[in-house]
Amino acid sequence: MLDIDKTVAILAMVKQLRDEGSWTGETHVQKAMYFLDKKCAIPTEFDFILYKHGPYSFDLHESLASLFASCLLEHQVQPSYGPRIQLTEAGRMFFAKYASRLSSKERPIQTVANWFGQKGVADLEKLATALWVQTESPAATETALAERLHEIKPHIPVEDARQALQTVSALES
Amino acid sequence: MTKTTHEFRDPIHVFVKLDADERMVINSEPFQRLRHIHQLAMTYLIYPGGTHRRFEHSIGCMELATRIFDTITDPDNLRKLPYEVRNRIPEIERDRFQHWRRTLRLAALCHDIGHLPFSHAAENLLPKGVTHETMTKRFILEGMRDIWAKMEPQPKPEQIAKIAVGEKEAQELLPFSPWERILSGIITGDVFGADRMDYLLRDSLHAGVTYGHFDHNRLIDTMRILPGTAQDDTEKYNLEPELGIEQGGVQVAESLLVARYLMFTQVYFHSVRRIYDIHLKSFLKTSLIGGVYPTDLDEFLATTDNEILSSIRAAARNVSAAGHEDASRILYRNHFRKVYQLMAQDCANNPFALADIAAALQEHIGVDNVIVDDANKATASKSDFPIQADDGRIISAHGQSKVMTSLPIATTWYLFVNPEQRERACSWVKKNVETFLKPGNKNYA
Repeated sequence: MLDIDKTVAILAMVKQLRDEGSWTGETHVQKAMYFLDKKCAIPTEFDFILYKHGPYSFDLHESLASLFASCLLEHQVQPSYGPRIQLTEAGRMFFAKYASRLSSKERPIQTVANWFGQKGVADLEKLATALWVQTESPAATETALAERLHEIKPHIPVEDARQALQTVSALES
Repeated sequence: MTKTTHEFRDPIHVFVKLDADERMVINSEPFQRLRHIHQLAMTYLIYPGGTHRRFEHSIGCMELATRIFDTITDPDNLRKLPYEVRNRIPEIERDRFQHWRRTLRLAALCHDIGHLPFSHAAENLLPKGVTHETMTKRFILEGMRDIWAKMEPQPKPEQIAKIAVGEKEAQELLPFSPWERILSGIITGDVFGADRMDYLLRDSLHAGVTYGHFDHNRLIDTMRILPGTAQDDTEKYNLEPELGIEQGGVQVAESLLVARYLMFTQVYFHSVRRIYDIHLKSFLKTSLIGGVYPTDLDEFLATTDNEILSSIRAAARNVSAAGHEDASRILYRNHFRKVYQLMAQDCANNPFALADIAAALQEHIGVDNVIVDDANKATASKSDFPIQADDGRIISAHGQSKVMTSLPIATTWYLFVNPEQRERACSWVKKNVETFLKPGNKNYA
């Protein structure tokens, strides 16, 4: 059974990311929803864990699967790269019917989509993991956080980690 | 002289060889318990041959995991891995393959030791936040400590646990190195995991269906460690090494995913199997103390399918026993009957169709006479993986294979009714369902 509020929030995020020029694969949606939850303090009711490319929610993955199964979302296949996600005709109808239920989420979703519209997955991984370590230890110094980020993701040099932390801190929700 | 190598006859893999340490694990109480846990819960009530157990699956998983490991670590198969990706898995330079191969085999053997009676059927009766993987970890880290201590050299239980359950289920053991991630992917991976490969082949064989067949030998032969797929057009490939395949393996990977989809629709999500799961869960909820499975390791070891089946038999014959109704529905095959299954396209017209139809039917024949089952399984959506093209490029499987991206998501979306109300329900469904499925119906305009 679809949860209307969760569904409309996901559809809104997918739509906004596409409007902002994002590739909008699952990774993009995952990281955007994580920022919505943790940076904008809009509870998404998805549990995130630290996974391969940074914060990831298996609940969100399951919800996306439900929306694909219900024909509200579809994959747009691109040669060579991971698939993009878009709303179907039924998805657009659903969104039009329930968009009013977004209320206080609407603006933060636009903001997050705007932050990430032009970002590739490597940047998203870096920024989302930076937010993860900040959330994990809010009182830690930037140096400690940068080292922690580097420990979790050894391919991100400490200096890049520091920059990612600064970028995340500077984002105004 | 004491034998150092032992072997099992296996209906899928023919001979599975193991050493004395592995035999010690197999002879342990947690592992022997798997002889009494049906792999497919009560599926044998529909497919009578489906009586196989987690025991033989775990041994099969070890065999396949080893074959995958040997293929991907073959120096010839590592040659094309770009330096910056290879650099991230220093373990493959250190000549410690024997340590990791052994750890992987032990992890594959143990990957299911935390399974509940009847496998997945009633898994959500564990306390909140506890899964069968949690129990698997606890057995590896606590319950089997004495077994690891007897081995020479001693394996590292944390490594075994991480590789057995994967990153999702081992958050307290983070971080995973890229190498540990690859090894856990060998067992738990969504496409190429030895667990999935073995269960598809084995379940298919025992259920007596051919849906789960695919050429696993060819698939394993084409598996490689590759750079991750580019997720968008900002990168050429991802530096995170992943399990992937050479171009020649695309069709067999497609056949695995088709096999998985078919097994879900024809066996795992068979409507009668689903309703038996529901009756079983309902029975356990009323008969277990507090409605939850025990998580104390000793108590956990004491409960297998045998004990549950005995209590079902006893409860079915005693009208005043807790869970009598569900027990008798299971034992005397008086289960609720499917009267309706929603189709995907109908859902597009009204995403709430199943709930709307269920509510109206409940109004017609009574709330307690209707059960809604609306699970779904994304059998292919998480399946993107890198393919090494013949010209050396790393490309996305989803960008390459229309078969993979076109596979539907397996769903249940069933309505079951009390058998005594079946005729009434069927005629109501025939007369009324269509009105809920048309665009512009009263509930979803």
